[in-house]
Amino acid sequence: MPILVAVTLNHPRLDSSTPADAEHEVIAHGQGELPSGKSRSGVFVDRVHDRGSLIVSALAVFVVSAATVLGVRPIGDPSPWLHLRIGQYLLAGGRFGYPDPWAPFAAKPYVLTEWLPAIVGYLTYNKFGAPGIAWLRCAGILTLLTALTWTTRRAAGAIAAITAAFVALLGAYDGLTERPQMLSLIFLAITLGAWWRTTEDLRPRWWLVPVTWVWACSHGLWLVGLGVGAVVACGLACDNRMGRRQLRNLLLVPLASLAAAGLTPVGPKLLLAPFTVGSNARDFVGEWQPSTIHQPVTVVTLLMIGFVLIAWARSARSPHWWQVGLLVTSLVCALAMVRTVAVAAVIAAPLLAQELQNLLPMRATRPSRLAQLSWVGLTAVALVVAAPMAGALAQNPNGVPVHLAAQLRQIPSGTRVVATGDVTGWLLWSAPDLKPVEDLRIEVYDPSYVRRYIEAMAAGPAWRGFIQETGATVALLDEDSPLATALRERAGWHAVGSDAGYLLLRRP
Amino acid sequence: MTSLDVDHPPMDNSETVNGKPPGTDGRRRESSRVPAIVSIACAAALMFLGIRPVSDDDAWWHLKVGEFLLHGGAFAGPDPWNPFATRPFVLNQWLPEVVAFQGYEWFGLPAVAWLRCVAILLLFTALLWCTRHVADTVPALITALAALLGTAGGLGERPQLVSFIMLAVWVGASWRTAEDLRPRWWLIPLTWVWASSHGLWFTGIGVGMLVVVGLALDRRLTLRSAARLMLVPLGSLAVCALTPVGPRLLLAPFEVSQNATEYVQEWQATPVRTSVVAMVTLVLIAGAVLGWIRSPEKTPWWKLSLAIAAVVTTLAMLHTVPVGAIIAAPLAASALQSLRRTAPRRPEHRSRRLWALLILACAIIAIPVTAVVAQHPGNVPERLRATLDTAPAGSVVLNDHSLSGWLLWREPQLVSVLDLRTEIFSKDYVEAYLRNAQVRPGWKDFLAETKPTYALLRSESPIRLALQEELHWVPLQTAQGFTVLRAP
Repeated sequence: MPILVAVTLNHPRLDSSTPADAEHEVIAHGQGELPSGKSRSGVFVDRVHDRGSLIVSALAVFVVSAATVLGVRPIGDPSPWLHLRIGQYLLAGGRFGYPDPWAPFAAKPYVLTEWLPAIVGYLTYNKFGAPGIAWLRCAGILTLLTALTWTTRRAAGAIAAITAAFVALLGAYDGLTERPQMLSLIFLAITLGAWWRTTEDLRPRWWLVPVTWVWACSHGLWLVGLGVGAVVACGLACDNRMGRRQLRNLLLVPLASLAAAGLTPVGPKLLLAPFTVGSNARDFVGEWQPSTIHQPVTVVTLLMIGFVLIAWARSARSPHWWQVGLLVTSLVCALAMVRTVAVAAVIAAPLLAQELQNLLPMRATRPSRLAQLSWVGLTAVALVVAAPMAGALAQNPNGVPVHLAAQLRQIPSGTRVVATGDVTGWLLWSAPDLKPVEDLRIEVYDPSYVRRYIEAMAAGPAWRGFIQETGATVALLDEDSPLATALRERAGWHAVGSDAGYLLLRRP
Repeated sequence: MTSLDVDHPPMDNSETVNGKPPGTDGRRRESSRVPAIVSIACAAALMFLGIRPVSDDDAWWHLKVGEFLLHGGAFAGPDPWNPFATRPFVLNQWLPEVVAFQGYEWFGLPAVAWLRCVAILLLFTALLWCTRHVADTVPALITALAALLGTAGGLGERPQLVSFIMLAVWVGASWRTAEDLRPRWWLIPLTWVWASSHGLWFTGIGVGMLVVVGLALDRRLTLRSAARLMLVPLGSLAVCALTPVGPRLLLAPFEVSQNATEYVQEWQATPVRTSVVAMVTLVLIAGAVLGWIRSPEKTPWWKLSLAIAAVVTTLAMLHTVPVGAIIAAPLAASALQSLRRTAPRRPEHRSRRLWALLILACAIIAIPVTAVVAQHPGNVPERLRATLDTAPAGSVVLNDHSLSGWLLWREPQLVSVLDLRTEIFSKDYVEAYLRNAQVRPGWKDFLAETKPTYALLRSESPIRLALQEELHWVPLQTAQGFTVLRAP
């Protein structure tokens, strides 16, 4: 990789976001240890400088390779099938309204918060099959890594920036699936990088407004980007770095972005979508449950945050309020719910990079154009390599009963199916004529209905009533589930097939 | 009560606040009325928290253990009550169990409720001992009360209350050691009492070690002084092996956690968003950390290590959130005090005596109140006792896990299939119990293995329904959310 040799060459020192004094402090402190001759740390600095390019090149190759390996694997998430079905349905001219075209028991119209990646995903699948989706995910991960590095590199030199970006990628691992939320993480990293630059020159980045429009067409977490903007702008005001007029100018960016989010094809109702989805999902969906330190990603993210906090507490300088604001936002996201741990990792990345940089005995320099091109080239190579890898590794999806698809398609159109929540997306995709009594779009159902569905799945007292009321005559259930056991043992349903841990049951 | 915090010469303390020596100009005098009012409000809050019926699921089997020991039972050995247990039962909480049972024998259930109330009063006093050392009366009372709220999830009538009191004492003592670098040898016999009371004794030793390591990192100790200070936690560890349980007590916490971490709710990782006590505790820690990072001074490692310990224990499991709250209490109090920009005034003897009188008065008032409020237990189906009494002695009962302690205490002639002492059962057995409770495939295997002839289950549970619908068990009585069934 000779091209990467130029990733850290000497450049003008980074400005305000990377405190020059701190760097000088590190070097001066080291020199004080050995009064005569060259200091130990001085020798170390020279060595690192001599081999700096090599270290950065090796680090970049390792990180991009690891991200590629993380990215190329079979489809294993339950959600992409739903998004593929939505893309297919929209491209065929279908539209969602009330009553819902797929779910007979939906109580509200479905709001298409993720229509853009759904269409792109479907077009890709149509042309390349499951490996196409796996490749898209890999591309998403590499783009996220690049966006993170773009952000962290502003706060630190190459070694600290790439390391922090990679650690953040590990913290965001649970969000690195073949779902539109990957786009949210990319947009968040870009938004964060833009606001970090704003803290240096206090200039608004108006291009964030159209970016937020695209984000709002892709996934429901666009609100977090606005929040980051508001936190940074208010933090800068607390730091007394600008007057009211400047603050108003900066706050216009998130406000205009909010307005742009109301102008997508979904219309102004998109502005309320995050709250309507959240009200149901918080109670019933696993990834909306509170995060705990039994999840490795939460541990990684909390370690990132903890590292920054300890560095600040042990430092004689006080962090800016906008940095404190970002760290608090990150901490709240890390502890709020499983799905926001990835958000927390992304927000913590530049803060971690900055503190890592303060530990290194060398100056942070701006990346050269050659270094930037080297990174882009390396990522492009990784994407090219990922294509045949995806073809070889991701032909068959995981976690869904593909061998039952033919049987399901033979069931008469309109038949109601009680299915384990996770498999309903695949059911809608592989047997679109069947009607699941509940599906992954949990926000379209009434909460009391969802509660009864959950009780029925646990074979609670109302399970018979639920099955009768919904008119389900087919079940596609986890074979270890209480409802599958109850249907077989107590209602005489018989198993007509099984695959990937799922049983296909039919009423007698 | 007007002199809980009155004018005194400034503390003879080497610490300064924001570079100012204590008691210099600009010190804002705390009105003597405010501390008195806040103290009385705190005491009222403690009474409110402490006086209620006995309602902890575990209280019952602790009484049973107390009775067992007072009647000549052994401290360790094969389980005397449950034939399905495959691991020995180690009585690592024998001291409060014996005390509580004796209280019960003399005065009935109100005595147990009163003991809990007294323990809460003592816990608050111990917390105040920590916080008042680093803050004036009002901030000290506020943070002690916040810390007590952080421990609210663990304020049941269980031996762990002793652990919380002991931990607060350890934290306060370690804080003082961090200031004067003198060892507190009295912590060693105290730890012996702790080890005889509850399994969290190692948290105190951990706090002691962390502070010594932190002081060493801060370069405030020579090798010799570090070794001397380290002798306190090491000596405490050694005396833990000298309780009547013997050296095996040292391994007991790990044995308990083997099953508990997987199956027992309070041993699960803390879900912060839905746990108010965890949020309160994290806010306490955040207050301290925010003060540090905005301060121009470097935070010493020993304080940082305490904060890290508080965060880890708060997030580790619901069971240890109170540990985090107690460790965080003086950190938060110190941060709150720093907002005053003065060093705290040392409490005088008179104010200490007044506080002791206030607590004593609360404990005395609690006697008649608990006698009225706590005559009957809460959260248990007492109305089902008559039906359960009809079951022949030795009948195996398929029981709801939460009721097993009560069943063991109230219906000792019956045999529960699983009780709250999860550590004495094999992992496979607990798995099979859960599979049965959730009516998952193979659920009847557990019935075949244990052969229950009665069941005491939640009325709305899937297993109650399955027993009735599929195996035709006969419901005998339903009350207070539970149903007694008999095998056909």
